[in-house]
Amino acid sequence: MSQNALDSEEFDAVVLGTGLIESIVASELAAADKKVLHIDRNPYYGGSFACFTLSAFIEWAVQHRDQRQTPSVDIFVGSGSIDTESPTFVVDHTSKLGDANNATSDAAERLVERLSPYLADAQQPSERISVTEQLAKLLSNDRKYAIELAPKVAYCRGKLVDLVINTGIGDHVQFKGVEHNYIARDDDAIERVPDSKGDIFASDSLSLIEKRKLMKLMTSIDDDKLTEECADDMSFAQFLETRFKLSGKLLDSVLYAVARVEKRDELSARAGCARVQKYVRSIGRYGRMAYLCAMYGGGSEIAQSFCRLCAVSGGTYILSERVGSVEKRDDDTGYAVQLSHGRVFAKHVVLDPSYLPDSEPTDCAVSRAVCILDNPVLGDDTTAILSYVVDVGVVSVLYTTQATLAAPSGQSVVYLWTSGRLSDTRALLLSALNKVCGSLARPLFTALFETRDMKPVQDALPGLCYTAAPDSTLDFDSAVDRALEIVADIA
Amino acid sequence: MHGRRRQALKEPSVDEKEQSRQRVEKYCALNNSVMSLRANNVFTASALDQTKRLLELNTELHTVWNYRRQVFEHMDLWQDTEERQRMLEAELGFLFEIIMKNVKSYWMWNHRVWTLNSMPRADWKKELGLVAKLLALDARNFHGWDYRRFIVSNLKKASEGSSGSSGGEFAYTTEQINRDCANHSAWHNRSKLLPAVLEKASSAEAQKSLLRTETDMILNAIYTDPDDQNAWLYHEWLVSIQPSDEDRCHLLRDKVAAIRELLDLEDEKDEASNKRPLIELVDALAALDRLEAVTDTEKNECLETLRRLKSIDSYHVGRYSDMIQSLAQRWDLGSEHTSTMISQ
Repeated sequence: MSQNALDSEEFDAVVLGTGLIESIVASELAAADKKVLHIDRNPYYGGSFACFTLSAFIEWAVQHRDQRQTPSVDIFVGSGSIDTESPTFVVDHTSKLGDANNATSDAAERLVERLSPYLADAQQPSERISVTEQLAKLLSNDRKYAIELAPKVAYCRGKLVDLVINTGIGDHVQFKGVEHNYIARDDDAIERVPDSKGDIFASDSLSLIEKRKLMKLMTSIDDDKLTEECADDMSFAQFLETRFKLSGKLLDSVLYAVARVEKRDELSARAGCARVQKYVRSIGRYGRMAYLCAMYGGGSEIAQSFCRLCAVSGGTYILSERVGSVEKRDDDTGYAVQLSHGRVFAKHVVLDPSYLPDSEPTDCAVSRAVCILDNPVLGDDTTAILSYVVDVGVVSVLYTTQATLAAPSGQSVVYLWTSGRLSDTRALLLSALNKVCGSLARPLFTALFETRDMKPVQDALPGLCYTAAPDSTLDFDSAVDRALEIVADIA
Repeated sequence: MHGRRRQALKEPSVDEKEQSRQRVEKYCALNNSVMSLRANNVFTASALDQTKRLLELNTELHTVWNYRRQVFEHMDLWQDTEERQRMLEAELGFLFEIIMKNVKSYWMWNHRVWTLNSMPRADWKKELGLVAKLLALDARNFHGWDYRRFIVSNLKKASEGSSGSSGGEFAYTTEQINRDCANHSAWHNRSKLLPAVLEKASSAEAQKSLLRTETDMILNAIYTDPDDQNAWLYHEWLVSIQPSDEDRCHLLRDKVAAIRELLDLEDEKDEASNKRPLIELVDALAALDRLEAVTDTEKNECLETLRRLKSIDSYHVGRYSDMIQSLAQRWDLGSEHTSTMISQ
C-alpha cells in the first residue's frame, strides 16, 4: 500500500491495537456490517496478549514494549542469578550503548549483542561467556517456545468458549484441557485440588469429614436457589465457613483455587457462589477439567483468529503502523486519526489506552514472571494451574509444556503473576517460583516485569472506547465482557 | 449402557415404514426357515449359515443359539481337533462382531462361554484383554464382571499353582472403585476376592491390616456419598467377616460415630437426605445390642431415630412402627412407652 493511500478515508470504527479485547470488538463490528480499520503499531498481532518465540520475546523487551506500561524487564539467565536475586540483564531506558556492533551471523551472539547494553552492573565480564553459551543452548530450540505476555485459560463453560463456538473460530483454534489444579500454602507441600467425586473419594489429603463437606458443596452449588441464603453483606469466605462449615486447608482450596480470590474477604457470597458454580459446571463439558488452554499461546492465537474473521468480513488491517494523534472532528461526526498512511476519519475509535500519546500509567498493575525450567516438574505433556497462597499475597501460576506446544520436550514454561507493583511483589514472585521448582527443577531463563494499566490524561477526548491491559484474573471472561460492552455501546 | 440419555421417538415417515415392513418380512422368512430346519433335525453347513444370519438380526433367540450349538456338535468336522479349533475361533470372531450391538444379551454371553469351554485351546489371556476393554466402556455391566470371573478362574486352572492372580484382580477392583466409588459391580467382585486375599495373608497382623484398609476404603465411600446403599452394604458385610465379636463391636461403634458426625453436618431443613444414615444408625445400634450391652440412652436414641424416620419416610411407616414395637419389647421399656411411640 502506498503512503497516504488511506488519506481522508471514512470508517465506522478505527481500532487501535490487536489485543484480545480490540480484536473481539473489531470482529463483532465487522460482522455487524461496520467498516472497520484495525491497526497495530507492532509487526505482530496480539498486543499485550502477544505470544513469542524466545528470541522474539527478547526483541519485545528491548524494542516493542511500551515504556510507560512496562518500564523495565529483568532477565535472569540460569538459576544462579535467581538465587542471588540479581538479574543478568535489566532492560529499561537507561541502557549504556556498548561497543560498535561486530557483524555476526550467530543467532545467540546477535541476541546477546542486543542485550549487552543492558548487562547489569553486578555482572562480571567473564560471566558473559557463560551467559552467551546458556542463551545459545536455549536458542537452539527457539521456535519451540511460545512465550505469552499475558497467559490465561478459558472456562469450559465460560464466555470465551461460547463466543469462540458461536463465531466459528472454534474450527481454527485448538485447546488442551488444564488437567490439574494445585494449591500450595505457606510451607505445606503442593497438593492437588480434587474436582470430581472420584477425585474426592481417592484423595489422600482430605479427612473423611472434609470429603463430605466438599461433596455437599459441589452438589449444592449447582442449585441456583443457594444464593438466596447469601446475606447481602456476607463475604464468600464467611458463607463457606457458616453454611458449609469449611475451614483450614479445605476452605483455602475452595476460596483460592476454585473461586480464585486474591484477598480473603474481597468476594461477596453471591459472587463466590456464581464463580464456584461456573467452575463446577465447566467440569465435564469437555472432560474432567474446568479449564482449557489454547495451543501456541492462548490470547494471541484467539486474537488473531478474531482478526482473521474481521478481515474476512471486510475489515482492513495494517501492522507496524505508527499512530500519531487522535482528535475530535470539528463537525462532531467522530474522530480523526493520524497514521503514517494518512489521516483517516472514524465515527468511533476503540483503543488500547497505550496508543494515546498522552496517556499515563495508573497505580494498578500486574507483576509477572515467565520462567523456562529445565524439567517438566509438574508432569511432562500436561498443563496445570497452581495457586500459591501465603500471608502477604496470592500468586497465580500457569504451568505449560509441550502439551500446548509452549516448550520443547523435557522443559516447561511457567508463568507466575499477582496484582501489584513489581517493587512490592518481587520477593513474593520469586518465592512462588522456588516453591514450584522445589528440588526437581532449575530455571534456565526468567523474566520479571510488570504491566501497568493506562488511562488517558485529565482533559483527554470524551467518547473514545478504551480497552484495558490484561488483568490478574486467570481466565479470559473479563476481557470478553469488556469487548462486548464496547460493542454494545457502538453497534 | 449407563449414562446414556433416553431419546424421544419420532413418528416414522412412509418410506421408513415401508423399509421397516420389508425388513420384518425378511426376518420372518429367515426365522421360519431356521425353525423348520430345526424341526427336521438338519445339521448342515447351510443351517450354520442361516442361524448365523438370523442371530445377527436378533441376539435374543435362545432357541436358535441352542440349535446352533447342536449343529456344531453334529458336524463331522467337530470330531477333528484342529477343525474344531478353527471353527470355534471363527465363532469367537462372529460373537465379537455382534457383541457391540447388544452388550447385555444373556444368551450371547452364554454362547461365548460354551465356545471357550469347547475349544481345544482357549486363549484366556486374550479374553481377559477383551473383557477389560468392555468394562472400560461400561464399568457397571454385570455380564462383563461375571464373564471376567469366569475367565479368571480358567486362567488360574490353566496356570496351576501360579499365585497372584487374585492379587491382580483385587487391584483391578481398586482401580475401578477409585474411578467411580458407586460401581457396585466392582465392590461385589471385591467381596468375592477378599476372602482369598485374606487367606493368603502372612500373619494375623497382616490380616488385620488388610481389613483395616478395607474399612478405611468403605468409610471413604460412605463419607463421599452417604446415600449410596451399596457402601453401607459392603460395610455390613465387612462387619460379618470380622474374626471376633470384639472386632465386630469395634467396627459398629466406629459406624455409629461416623453416622453421628455425618448427621451433625446436616441442617434441620434438609431431613430427607438423612434417611439412609438414620436407618443405618438404627441397624447399627440394634446389631450392637445383640453383641454387647448398649446404654439406655442409646436405646432411647434408637427409638427416637425410628420416630424421626417415620416423619421423613412415609412409605415405610409400617416398618418403622414394627421395629419400634419389637425393640421396645426386647428392651422391656414398658407398654405405655410403646403405644406412645406407635401412635405418633
